[in-house]
Amino acid sequence: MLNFSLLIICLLAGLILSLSVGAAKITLVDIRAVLQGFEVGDLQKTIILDIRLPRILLAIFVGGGIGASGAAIQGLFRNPLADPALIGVSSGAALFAALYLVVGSGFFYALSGLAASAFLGGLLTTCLVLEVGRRGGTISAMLLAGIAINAIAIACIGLLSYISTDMQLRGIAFWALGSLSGADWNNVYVASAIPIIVLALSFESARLNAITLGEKDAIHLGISIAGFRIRIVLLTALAVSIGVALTGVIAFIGLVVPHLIRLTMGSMHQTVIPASALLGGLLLLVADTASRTLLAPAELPVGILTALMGGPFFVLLVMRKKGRLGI
Amino acid sequence: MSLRLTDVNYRIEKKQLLSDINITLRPSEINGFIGPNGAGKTTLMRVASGSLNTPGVTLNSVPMTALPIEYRACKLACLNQSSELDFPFKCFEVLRLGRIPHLTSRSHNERIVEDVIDRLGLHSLRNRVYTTMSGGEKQRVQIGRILCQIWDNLDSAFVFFDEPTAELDLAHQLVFFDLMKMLAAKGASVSLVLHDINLASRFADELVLLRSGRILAMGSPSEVVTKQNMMQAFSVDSEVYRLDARPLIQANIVIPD
Repeated sequence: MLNFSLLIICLLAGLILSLSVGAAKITLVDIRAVLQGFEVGDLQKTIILDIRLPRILLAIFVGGGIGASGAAIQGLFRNPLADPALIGVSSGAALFAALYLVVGSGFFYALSGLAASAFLGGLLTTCLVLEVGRRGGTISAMLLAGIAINAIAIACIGLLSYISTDMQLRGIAFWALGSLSGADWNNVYVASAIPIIVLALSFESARLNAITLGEKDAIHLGISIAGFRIRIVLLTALAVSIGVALTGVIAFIGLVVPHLIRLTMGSMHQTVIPASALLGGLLLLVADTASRTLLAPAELPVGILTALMGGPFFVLLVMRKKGRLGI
Repeated sequence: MSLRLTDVNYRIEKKQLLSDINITLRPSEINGFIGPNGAGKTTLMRVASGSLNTPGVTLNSVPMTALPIEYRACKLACLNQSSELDFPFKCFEVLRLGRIPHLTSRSHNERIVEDVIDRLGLHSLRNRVYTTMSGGEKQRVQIGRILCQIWDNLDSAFVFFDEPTAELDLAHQLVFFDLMKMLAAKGASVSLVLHDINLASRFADELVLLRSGRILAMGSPSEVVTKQNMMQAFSVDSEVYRLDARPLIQANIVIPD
């Protein structure tokens, strides 16, 4: 059985383990020395502080953001099979990343690069889904809007892939697989907004609990649906856009993590949101550590690993625990 | 202390769902809403409980639309016909959701949940997962959630149930009506949308018979449940018998021909 202390202990253990494994051998003694500020070899210090630590923190922040967002989106849509991608954030980010890669930086000269255009794409697409859904009136309308706009975005990415050169196509494909190899401290500073967003999401817990009863019942519990819906969608879009912009698309964590938490720790969102953040961070950290050690010194895109691990696991979960998942 | 609907009309696009509704829901009364399918019973319940923000509804003489939705949730509880809950909450967690509108302490809320579990005999379901329950069990839990919402202010509460007994067996139906009587005795105003005219006639203080969005008849069950009204509302030929078995069991019983 999972609980908060176990999650935190695993996260710390994962952090230390991940600091020590990789292409270059680093011992626990080195890590302690560096973290305590003792003089050790410049190489070890650089590897620990400038390469591995930012990458680890980025994995924890981004994975945590995706996990908590998945939990919030599943709650909002009252559907345990929902995923943050449903609100268009991933496909929108992917589309803008592809635009940047294919049409070129000239087109987006005002933006600082791939990450910024992906972030903007994620947010813009989400706003579009939100607006279409608002005119439809209900949460299901927004779900349908999300599906339609996702399809349009994916078609546009297909079009861009079709007209792109081989090099550009490789860029698009690689980005869509997700990777943390570009991690540096600047990325970590940007990603440190994610824990704040997760905190804001957890303030919505009681309302998320109420909305799982259905919109009509939630109104009778004193929940104003319209504002609540916008807050949840914008907060998750922010968290996921930051993640997607910095690392590319990371599959399956947003879907699987909240399920695992509900199975083991219950469905109350006061628990599910923070626990999904911790477990999401832990899983992405483990996956990323595996992705850079399995084929060291080469790297496997981490999105492939999360999908390979998450997919079969999810199938197993669905077959075994049907009733308890609420599907 | 009353909830009043004055000349309420409600339409969706071109379809007139309710016309010229004038009703007063009073404390300590059980109101039954009966009528054929599509007569507007559910819509009327949603209008009265304030979830459609219709003009013409007042709570203690204050227009409902002027009351903040959080305040309404403390006074009015409403169980819709079908529950959409699809998440593996445990029974006691679902009950706890009823306390969301209130700013009362955690221990107070937990005491209320335990009281309601005692009152409804939900002990065996207490730690069960909602999504694994049968339809009737789910309904009992949802009824419990509604009770939790108003348990500590029954004397000023209005409760609405839309076909609450549809999924319940006979024994649990009677438990439910017993409970409604208890709520009314403590001062709550109870409104029930019911399909079973005999149960409605047996347990309601006031009946409202609806047809095509209009009130066809209202008053005590013996005034409303008559051969003519049944014919007019349902186009069903029936015999209505007066049951006077004991002083406590008096009701008009409808038997279709």
